[in-house]
Amino acid sequence: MKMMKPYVWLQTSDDSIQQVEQEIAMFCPLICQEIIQKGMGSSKNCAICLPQQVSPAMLSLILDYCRFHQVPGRSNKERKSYDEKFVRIDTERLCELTSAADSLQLKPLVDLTSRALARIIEGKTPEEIRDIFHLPDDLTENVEVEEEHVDDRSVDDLLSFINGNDGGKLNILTILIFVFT
Amino acid sequence: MPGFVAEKKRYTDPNMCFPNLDNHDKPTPTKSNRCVRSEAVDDDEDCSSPILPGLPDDVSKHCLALVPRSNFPSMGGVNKRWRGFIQSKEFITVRKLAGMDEEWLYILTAGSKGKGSHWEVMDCLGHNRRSLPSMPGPAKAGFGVVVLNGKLLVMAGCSSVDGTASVSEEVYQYDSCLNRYAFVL
Repeated sequence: MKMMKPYVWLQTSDDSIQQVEQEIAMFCPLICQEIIQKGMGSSKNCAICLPQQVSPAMLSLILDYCRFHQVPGRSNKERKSYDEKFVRIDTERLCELTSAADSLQLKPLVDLTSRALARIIEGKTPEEIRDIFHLPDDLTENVEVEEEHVDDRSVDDLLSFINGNDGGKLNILTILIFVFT
Repeated sequence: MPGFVAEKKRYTDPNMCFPNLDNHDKPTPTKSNRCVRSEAVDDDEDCSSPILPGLPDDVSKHCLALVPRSNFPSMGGVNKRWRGFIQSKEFITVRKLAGMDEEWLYILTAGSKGKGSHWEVMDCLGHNRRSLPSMPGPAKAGFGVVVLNGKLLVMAGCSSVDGTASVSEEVYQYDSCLNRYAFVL
């Protein structure tokens, strides 16, 4: 068996080729498969051709992420705080990064960036969401966002209401429990 | 113990209980395909724009599934693509896979003579309680209710207009994600 070489050659979407520490690059399942199954990346001539989604800038970000998490002995707190800072980038780059990580099958990073994108959507109006992601507005009907009416009575009040102690006017007909999955 | 009846409804196979409402992928021109289907319920992969630009739709769907459910009415107002996805059965599946599914309790209460029926909702811990918007159409009594893909279907029953009782043929559904009613038939 051949000795594992410490460096691997990667070709990004702009056709540029760079040398990367193999143990870092191997964090990406796609790169790992190319090396192990196809024996690629051992020289400049047989550089691993990365998916179209991976630009040099994105590759550099992804390798930073892998490099940090590859170091053993880091505490969960350290990792969490690194992750939080890591996704503090503008939305366009965040989408680009998600797409690049997905194409390299780097699931932990896809999860991290997806959560960051979900947090961006949270609490926004439809207009704000469209502005942030440059989405078309093709809804013809006038959509009124229904405000949820929050009931501030206690559960005890509700039970007494259900049981007809509330002036005896109301009786329970049905209770349905169901799962939103 | 409070004297209420609890019933667990959990239909894993909707075809078992309601065959005609789940056939939107078959080109059968039945009556049930009419109203609600035109409202972009289908999650059509051929739609021109992606859910989030620059991202494969399966990744975007995962992102949308991670947003807390109180945001769904807003998200349903973004565009056709988003609304179609949020109303779809697939959205429920993706949320389940992401561990974001929640169990909610719906309580139907009715006033005397069938007047003033309304729904109360709470999560399984008894928190976050609220009332649903009032049901559309005239006040009804004796209607049937089933749960299908996270939607509440209210069917038939009889209504009383100016003292005259009449049997209703209406079917409408409450979409729990968008917090609104739509007529089905």
